[in-house]
Amino acid sequence: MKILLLGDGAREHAIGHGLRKSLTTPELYCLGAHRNPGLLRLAKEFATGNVEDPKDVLECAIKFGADYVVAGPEAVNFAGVPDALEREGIPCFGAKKCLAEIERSKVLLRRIMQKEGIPGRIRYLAFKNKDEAEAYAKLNPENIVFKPPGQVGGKGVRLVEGDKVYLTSATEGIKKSAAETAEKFGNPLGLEEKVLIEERIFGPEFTAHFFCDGNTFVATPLVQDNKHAFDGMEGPETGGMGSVAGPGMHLPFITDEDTQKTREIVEKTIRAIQKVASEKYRGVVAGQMILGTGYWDVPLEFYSRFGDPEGVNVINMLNIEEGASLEEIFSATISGKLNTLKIKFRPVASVVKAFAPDGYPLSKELAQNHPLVVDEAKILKKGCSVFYGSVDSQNGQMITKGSRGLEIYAEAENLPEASSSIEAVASCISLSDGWRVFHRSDIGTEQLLKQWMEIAEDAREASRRREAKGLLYKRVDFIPGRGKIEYEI
Amino acid sequence: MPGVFGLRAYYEDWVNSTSRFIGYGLIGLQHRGQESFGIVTAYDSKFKVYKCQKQARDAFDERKLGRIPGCVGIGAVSIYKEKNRKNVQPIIENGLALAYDGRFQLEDGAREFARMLGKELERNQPEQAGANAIEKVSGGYAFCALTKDGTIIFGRDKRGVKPLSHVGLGFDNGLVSSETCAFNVVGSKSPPQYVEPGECYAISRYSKKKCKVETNDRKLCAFECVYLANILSKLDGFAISAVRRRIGKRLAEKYPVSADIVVGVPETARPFALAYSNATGIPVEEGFARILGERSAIKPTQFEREVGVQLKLNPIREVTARKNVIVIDDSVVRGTTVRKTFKFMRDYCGVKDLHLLVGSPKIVARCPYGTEVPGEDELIARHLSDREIAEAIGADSIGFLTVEDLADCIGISLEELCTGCFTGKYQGED
Repeated sequence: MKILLLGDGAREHAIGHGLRKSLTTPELYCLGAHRNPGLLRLAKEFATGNVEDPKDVLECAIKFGADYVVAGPEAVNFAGVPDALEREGIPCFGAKKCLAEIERSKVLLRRIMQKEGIPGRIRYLAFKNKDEAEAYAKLNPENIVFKPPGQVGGKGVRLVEGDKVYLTSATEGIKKSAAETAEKFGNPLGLEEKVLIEERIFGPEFTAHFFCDGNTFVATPLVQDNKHAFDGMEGPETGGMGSVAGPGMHLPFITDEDTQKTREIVEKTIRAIQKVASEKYRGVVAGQMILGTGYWDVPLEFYSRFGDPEGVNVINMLNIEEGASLEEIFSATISGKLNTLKIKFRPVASVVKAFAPDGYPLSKELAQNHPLVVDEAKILKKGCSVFYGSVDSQNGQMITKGSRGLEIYAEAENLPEASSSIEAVASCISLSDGWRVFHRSDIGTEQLLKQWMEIAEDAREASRRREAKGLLYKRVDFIPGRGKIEYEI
Repeated sequence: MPGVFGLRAYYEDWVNSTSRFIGYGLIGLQHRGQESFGIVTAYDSKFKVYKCQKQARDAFDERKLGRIPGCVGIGAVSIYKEKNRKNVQPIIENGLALAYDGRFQLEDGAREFARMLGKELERNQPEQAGANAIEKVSGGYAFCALTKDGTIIFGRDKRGVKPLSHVGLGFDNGLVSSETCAFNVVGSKSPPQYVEPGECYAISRYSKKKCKVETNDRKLCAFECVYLANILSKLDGFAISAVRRRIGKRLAEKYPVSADIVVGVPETARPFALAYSNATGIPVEEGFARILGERSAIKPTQFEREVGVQLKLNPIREVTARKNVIVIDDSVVRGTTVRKTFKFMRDYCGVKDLHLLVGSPKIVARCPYGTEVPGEDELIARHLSDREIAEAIGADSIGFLTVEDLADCIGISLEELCTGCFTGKYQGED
């Protein structure tokens, strides 16, 4: 069997690794923009090209004689690559363009949820331009989040807190800039709306991935990504500095009770968009959720693919001794036979930590073009695995591309142990030109878990109370001079 | 005693907001110093400075601060009036701005520390430079320094006498502060992090790094927990509000006095009285009215302190008349204030029995780390026994905590607490 894998990041390295470990031992072919050193080793052939160009991909798939294609990043889906492949009779593990809209347009997600009355609805407003958004924000001094109206890799999301009235004038410039930034990143999406403003939801975040063949949804272990660049939930927003999963299917701070609605939200939303599009969703779908304080489970966005780094946890936790391997899952997803598989996960705790050159995420210029040195032998000896990300192979050297260079994966009985395994090998990663790499030492530690548990406990308590009072989808406000205002969501 | 605050913004659009946020942070630390307020930002590789010798609330000027641009800056409030504006914190020395709390054991104090740090910065990464300076300099201090190119360097001495914490404000900012209450004031919702003894951090626009000096010692200032820190704060993870309630409960266990009401001396001793009441069932009453909201004990001169005290300590006759009263205070230093207050209560407010309970051990020594305590010959508890103190101030009985009680109430081991002002022993000092 031959598989063409699209993409060049750590997530794709993990997918490639999972595919090669499968019992069916498929031949792996890769197409990516840069030569990922990990995939280079796994692949029979590695072609460089544009994974977002359906023509390039199709040519590649035909050349390699691929039995099917696996879409790594969302951009592949947004570009309609799965659609183009299917027209030529080549199946693709990846959401078609019209289904991937659920990720590409955050406005669409909110609208579908509202129209279908799906749980997890929040207050949002979509604006046609930055000025309208800014004007709204000035008049409504609440805690709000400015977002580009669609998926642009987490860029342009800004939180403006309005609960301290005395800070209002000091934050005016930031509101203006936040609206501008959201519009700037939103513009290229070609959506009608340019800026999305949502009420700010506070609580622990987690990602819930499901394999979906159009009918069957198979849950995978919950994963929590950590978006802040630096230790202690500090620093600018990144694509994800590391993730934790387990032990088992849940997280220490997210229980069964917390997630019963997540499955419902994801299933109902996907079924709704399948109906609109008259297409089957075949691939992986994830709800990037928050256990909102007073709101229960709320999706911040949907992924039409594996999260990165979250996917690295999910794929590596598959129990292929007692259940289906990744290749079997992909095959069954494509052929609509997920219900025939036994899919199992090992009851371990797993931690992923991303390592990035200084400068990431704010200055690609500073973070790129550094020679990366990794003592892989030592890392493997300590029981961890390496997944390469934003690194190019050039003349036998590994050169950073400016984003997260690699991710280290470790598992253990509990998260703190897995975390310290990675800490023990952190010194194996360096840049030979003296520039520095950084990572989050606190991910998976007892201290951070304890903080999340406290936040989660508050979130549950507040949610129970609001639900009991029938306030989950109702906002009541009093505007002096205008009186009581009620919103139904 | 001063309060330090720093802010590093990661996005350029903070250029006109940073100094005002630092200003609000300093308002949140006003209880640590009411005499001066200073902010230094780094902008375009130059320092922009705003200094004003008033308390933070009055010094804060939206318009003037709006004209101090920058995406990174530090600030301080202090208890010292300075003749020379240059000495108002943050001081600038050798191209480095420095805000600090405590004392550096150096001949030329903070300026010498700034010069040493500057030298270390010439040949080290900033966090390493800070750690090297900490390694070399004894004393009890927390500092927050700023370079012209916009790196904030902050750290604590090897025993962590003075508190220092840091946190994120959304995705936009890194904050550092003497006390966590300032984080609340500027709207941070993240759990605060505590700088460890001997630890130094450096935040630039693109990185946050830390470096730690090898040390197993910890000597957190006990006086911070009893008195200095705001009740909203957490010091090294110890929630001050919980500590103060435990102190009140401990007083109730140790001194179960029979009385009609219990009254706390505003502001710090109010939670002591509340917890004492909860534990004993004796009703807690507001027995004193405040005219001014200032903190009296940190005023620079004895005269100003007494003015401050008497403006906030107005006994309310209707509350205390014909009652046996327990008054709880946070500390007894000279005993002059409480003596005057008690005399007034007896002469004009018709109280019956009057008991004094104190939520701290006896203060018997000066603090070498900058906590303002009068000369040792003025400290009443250094010279008199409990009975004599009660006699001198006109109380029917008096009760203090011991240092062991205090450590218990904080939840820390006695070895990890600096109790020098209560014992005269400053362990570990060179």
